[in-house]
Amino acid sequence: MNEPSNKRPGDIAEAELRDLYRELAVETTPPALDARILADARAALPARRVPSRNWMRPLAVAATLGLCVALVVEIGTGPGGSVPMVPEPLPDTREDVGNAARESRAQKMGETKAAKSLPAASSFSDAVAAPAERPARVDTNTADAPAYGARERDAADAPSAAIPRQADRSEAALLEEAVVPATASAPDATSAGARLSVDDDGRGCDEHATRDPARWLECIEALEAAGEPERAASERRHRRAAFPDAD
Amino acid sequence: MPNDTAMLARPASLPRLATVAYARPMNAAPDDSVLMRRYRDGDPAAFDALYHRHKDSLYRYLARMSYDRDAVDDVFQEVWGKIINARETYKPTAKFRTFLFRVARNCFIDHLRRNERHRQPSLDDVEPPASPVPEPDEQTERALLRRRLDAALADLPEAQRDAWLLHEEAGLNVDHIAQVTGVNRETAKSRLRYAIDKLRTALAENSGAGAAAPWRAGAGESA
Repeated sequence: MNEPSNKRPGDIAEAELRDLYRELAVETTPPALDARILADARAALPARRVPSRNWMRPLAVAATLGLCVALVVEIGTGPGGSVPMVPEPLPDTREDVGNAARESRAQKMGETKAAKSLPAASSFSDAVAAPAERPARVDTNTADAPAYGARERDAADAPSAAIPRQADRSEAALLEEAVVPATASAPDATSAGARLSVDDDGRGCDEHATRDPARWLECIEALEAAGEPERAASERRHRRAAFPDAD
Repeated sequence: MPNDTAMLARPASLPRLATVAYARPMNAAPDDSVLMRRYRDGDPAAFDALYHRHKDSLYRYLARMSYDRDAVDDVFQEVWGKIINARETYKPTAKFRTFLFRVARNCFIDHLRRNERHRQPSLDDVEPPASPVPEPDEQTERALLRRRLDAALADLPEAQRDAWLLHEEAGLNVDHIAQVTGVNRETAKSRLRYAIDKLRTALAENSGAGAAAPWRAGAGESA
């Protein structure tokens, strides 16, 4: 501040004038006026801030729609091309399917001539859930080959024996195998005994049966009872070679 | 080497707390423009600080310009309303104080145009009693001088009073006064000089040339 100072004799100095004015000017704003203005200032804030952020809502809607579209497109063009409509069966269900598949394999070998009395299942779910299939396995315990059936039942009920065999099979194969026993007849006791011992490659008795000479012999007897003398003789030869002292 | 000795001894004479000219202290109050930006961003406390920083000087400026308390309140509220509304468009190209008092001056002029209620007090209203106090003490003399200064201020031409008040209340220099009042620098400077001269003259005349004025004792002079 470079204002000139025209000091004359008898005049007061500018600093004195300023000091005097400071003593004079002591007015302050009324508290009511302060409160009114501050309230106006606070009230103005939300009303002005909302328009400045109006772009956020359309952006959020657009982002949501974009994500939804991307998700739908990703599902539509993913591996397989469509959402699988058949739910993945539970482990328990898989076990049942495995048992049914084994039954069907035993029936294909011609070991049973049972009457076709059970109603046919029309779908995978029917095959899985149909209670009529379960007595087929239960009957093995009460039929003509009780000892063999009981052992095989215990082996079949063990999850470690059934589940790994299903692990490497495709869903379609399981579906196909599950439908077949539902449409087939219920096996009799003899076929149930053979079912548990006949090998998958058609040799006659599986590895489970050939480990124990007694079970192997039961399997051979089951083959003979089922009208498979050649296989029974073959299995007997193999048994003698494996367990020469068993008899 | 006496010079070297003097140079070595110099640091001991330096003040212990040296301040750097370009560094603001950590506890410094935020600048007005910063407060205005914070208020624009939704911080009401920033406006509170800004308001309390400037409200009294602005109120006194308007009070000396109008002398009508109702008009002062109306204009004062209008000014801050404009500040509130201008927070989105405010750009700190100039000092906030300059901006504030320019808004206040424009509001006051608009108020004068809208309403002629304001009046300037006549000298009869503020003139001290004709008969001097027989034995005035210092306080009485000081109060008398304040009343005379108030009357002299009211008697100033409006442009000169405006320049004086902008200088005293707003703390503006000549350049900023010229900026606020919309005149060139020389005009603002001459208005301020005339205002100061008239006030000093008025006080000197009323105090009987002031030769024995007690309030002068020990007072210094400034340019």
